[in-house]
Amino acid sequence: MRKFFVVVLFLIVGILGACSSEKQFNFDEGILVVGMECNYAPFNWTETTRSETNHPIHGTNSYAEGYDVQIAKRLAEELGLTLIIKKIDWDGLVISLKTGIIDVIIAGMSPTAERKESISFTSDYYTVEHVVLVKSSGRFADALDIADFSGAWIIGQKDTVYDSLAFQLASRAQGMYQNPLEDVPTIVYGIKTETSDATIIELPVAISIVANNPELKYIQLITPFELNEEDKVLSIGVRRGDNVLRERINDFLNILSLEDRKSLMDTAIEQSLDLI
Amino acid sequence: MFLNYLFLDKYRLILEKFGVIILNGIGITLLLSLLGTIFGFMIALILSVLRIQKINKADKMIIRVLKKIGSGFAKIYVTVFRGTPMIVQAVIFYYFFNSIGIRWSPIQAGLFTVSVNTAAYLAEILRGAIVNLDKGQAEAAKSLGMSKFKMMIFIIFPQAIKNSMAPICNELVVNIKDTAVLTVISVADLYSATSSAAGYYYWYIEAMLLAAGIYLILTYSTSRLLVIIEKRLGVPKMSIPNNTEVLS
Repeated sequence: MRKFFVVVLFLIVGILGACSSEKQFNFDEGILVVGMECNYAPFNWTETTRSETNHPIHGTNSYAEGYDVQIAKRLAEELGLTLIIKKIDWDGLVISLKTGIIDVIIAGMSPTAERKESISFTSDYYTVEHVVLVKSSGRFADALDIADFSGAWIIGQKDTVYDSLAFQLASRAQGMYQNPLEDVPTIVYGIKTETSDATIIELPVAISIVANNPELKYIQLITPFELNEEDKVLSIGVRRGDNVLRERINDFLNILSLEDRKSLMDTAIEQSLDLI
Repeated sequence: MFLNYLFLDKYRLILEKFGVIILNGIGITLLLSLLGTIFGFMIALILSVLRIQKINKADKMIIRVLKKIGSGFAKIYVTVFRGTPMIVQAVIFYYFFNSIGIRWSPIQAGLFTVSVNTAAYLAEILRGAIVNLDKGQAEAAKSLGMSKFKMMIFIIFPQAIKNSMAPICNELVVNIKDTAVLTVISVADLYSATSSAAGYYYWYIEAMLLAAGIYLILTYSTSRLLVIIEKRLGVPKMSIPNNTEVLS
């Protein structure tokens, strides 16, 4: 009797699962819901008071600021939609997009092959360069290249390019690869408390962190990291079936010149400097 | 070394910037634990009724089938929701419901998760209380000509619930702490608020000590409050009889 019941249960869940098709973006609803961590300056971070440029975070009394926020605002304006920003942890971004909790991901995310198996990406909205973050008073403060990191404990953010680069650096330099952590602030804290020796992050993020934490410094290695082309850029994530939305976002990105991007990033970095 | 983390300045700064957010977080933590325990209790009542159904010889086929399904369902429910971590349940419920078009906010999904999870634990507690009741109660009810239904409502359940008050209240206190896991589905509870403060200032240990302190105040005051309520309701105190009582 019980076995029969369990089989029926699985059948129901299976049927329900098969029925669910992904949400299709509807321009007529007039809303664009954007997902981001709000914990990754200068791309997206949380502020506690309203300013002229930040945007409210849905469901909280906080505000989101940063490069991604400015891109989101301009995009929403271009598409004629009301912008809603939701704060979502990194691991929840893709599934939130797929299940319709958000419509796009603008969170400093790279269009990697693994992610493309679940979602689609627009053309790039920023190009990145990776640097190594260390403690200024630590053993590796004067490192110049890969070999100088011999014996270092290296860590990266979970489920990001940083994690693979940490592994890459640890293997090449004969350092020790540490298991990844949830978000960048936690990792930065690890560097400050010497739980980790080094982490790898993008240049704008490093600039912002070092400005807020003078006991840290970043190093641009002489030998570049080995990366796929897709890991060197950031794109906007959309659902697989939302081709119309993707095309319209690409149109918007085409008119966003390199000068615009640099100027927006410079402003974002500056705003993130007097956080503390 | 530990004293380094007690410099009041940092705490003052954290509270200045994140005070409002932390207050909101406290509200949400308390709301989710209180409502979650109450709803969980209501579901648990139904589950325990289903669980104790026994098939009588006199039952017709359809009643037997229903009783078997009900009892089996209750057993599976309790096993599954006590046997999986609440954090896993929260993620599954939140994303699954949204994927089939039920647009639940994190708080709605969070409340659902806490209720469903609590119900599993309370169902077992209630079942234990019902089974351990004095058999004389049921016999007396039957000899008074009460129907099974009336017996359940007026005799069995009130006593079972009264005897379960302590574990039920304990469950509420436990929920206050356990709602912290709902942060993974973006619920803006107390842990999420102090975590934001931690990430902002990079004062992780201070922020987490603050969180620990606030949780401690919440759980302790709730326990004391519940003890007072239990005394008012006249819940029997469990005590080990000393020698003189037994002799007389």
